[in-house]
Amino acid sequence: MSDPYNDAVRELFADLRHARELAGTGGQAVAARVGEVARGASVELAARASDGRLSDLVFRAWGCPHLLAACEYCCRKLCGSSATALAPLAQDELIQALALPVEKTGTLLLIEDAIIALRKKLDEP
Amino acid sequence: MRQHAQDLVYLDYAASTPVDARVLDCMNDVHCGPAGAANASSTHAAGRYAGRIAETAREQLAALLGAKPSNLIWTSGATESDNLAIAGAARFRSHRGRHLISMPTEHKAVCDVMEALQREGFDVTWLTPEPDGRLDLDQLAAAIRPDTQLVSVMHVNNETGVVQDIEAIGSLCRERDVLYHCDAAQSLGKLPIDLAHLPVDLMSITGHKVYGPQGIGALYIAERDGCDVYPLLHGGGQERKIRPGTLAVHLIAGLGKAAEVATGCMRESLAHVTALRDLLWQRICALPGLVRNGSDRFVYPGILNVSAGDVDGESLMLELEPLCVASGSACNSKSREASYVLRALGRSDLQAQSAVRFSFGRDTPVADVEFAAKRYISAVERLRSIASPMRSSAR
Repeated sequence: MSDPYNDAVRELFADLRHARELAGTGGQAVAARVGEVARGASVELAARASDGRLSDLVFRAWGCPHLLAACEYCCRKLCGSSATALAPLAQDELIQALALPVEKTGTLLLIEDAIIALRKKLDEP
Repeated sequence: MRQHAQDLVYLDYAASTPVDARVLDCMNDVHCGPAGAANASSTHAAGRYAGRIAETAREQLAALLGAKPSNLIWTSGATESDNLAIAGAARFRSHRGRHLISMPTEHKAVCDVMEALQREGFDVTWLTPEPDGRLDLDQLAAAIRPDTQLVSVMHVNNETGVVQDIEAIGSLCRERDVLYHCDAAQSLGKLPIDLAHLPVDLMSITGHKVYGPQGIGALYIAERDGCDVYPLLHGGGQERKIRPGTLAVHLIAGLGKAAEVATGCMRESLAHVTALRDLLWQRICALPGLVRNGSDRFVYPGILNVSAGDVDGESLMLELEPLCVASGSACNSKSREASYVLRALGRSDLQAQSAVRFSFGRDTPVADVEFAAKRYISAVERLRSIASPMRSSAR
């Protein structure tokens, strides 16, 4: 049986540094949870926005190594970006970076949903 | 990030055991000796020599089982033996009736051939296991019908280690004139088996779970009226035409030697794996929410199956590396199907998919078990921490 995880997945999984509570204080702190453990995966993203930027973006997740690695990948990429322009990463980028097998691409939809839900909360007055 | 072979800690003896050095030497001697190039069916001297090696191995295996050598048929392993026993016996006795009985906790090699026979028109009754995995004999007695021809219930369950009362099952089958097939892949050389006294008609055996080579096994067929199998293969007439094909003499010699070695060290091995199992359980049992799967009393101690419940099984397996253990989830499969054996015991999907089977061998060092305990605890705690807000819904 070939290794189901590429080096990127293994490295991210070993260092899930964004799987924690939000750091700092002040600004706008929001969180969004999607998915269900009973259906195999759940993701909660939390962000703190200060001066129009995401000063921190963290996650908690229940799921397979690909899901956890994808959450970490997104947090690393999106942390520090513009809060008003927060948008899901391109699926192709994640599929390539993590060598996601086709049966795991559903995990990307879950993360997309979490980011969209987070964006909505950031947009709320 | 990837593991090197020398770093691996192997606790998956229920899947396959390393080949014993004495077995390797024996196989090497066969390869390098006069029988190395010979076909055991050939009538020349080298062929006769190869044939004698196969017969010696048959005697060694028979001695371990308390069987007559002539009751053993060489096969490629337990999967083939299960198929030959079940399909072969069902077809052999199909003129009498077409009802078969088994359990949903059997190995796939049994379940799948039963399902194949269902598609041929046989009727299969699946008996529900008790919560501890054992078979309720009253349920079996009630399920046997006038047209029942075969009952297949394994000796030691490959996932949980649960031990069935094969003497009682076999006795009931004898009373009702039904054949009893027992998959003994997990028990050969680990628990005493005396076929001279056990009412078992067909028994499946494999080499690679008893420190023998992969690719060799055997089927025991009792010598009594109405007990026989139709072959699955047709060809050269070897093995009384029941399993034709050129004998893999070096593998057969290896299985014979493995049986001989096991005969001499079974009691000591059993004591060793019991101590390892108890040590591991003692180390990890304080983890909140941990469930032990299978019977506490009727269990082969070389297997410990536990479920954390609130962690993802696939992530747990990756986090456990370099520990080599078996998972209760069909990791990386498209279905993410949780263990059907644990589901049949009443475990939830989450408990079944998070199950880990630790299995020990006669040469497993205590240090490996200590490592496994620490690794398991830290892995579960880390994944629980990563999933902390979701864990309440996982319970």
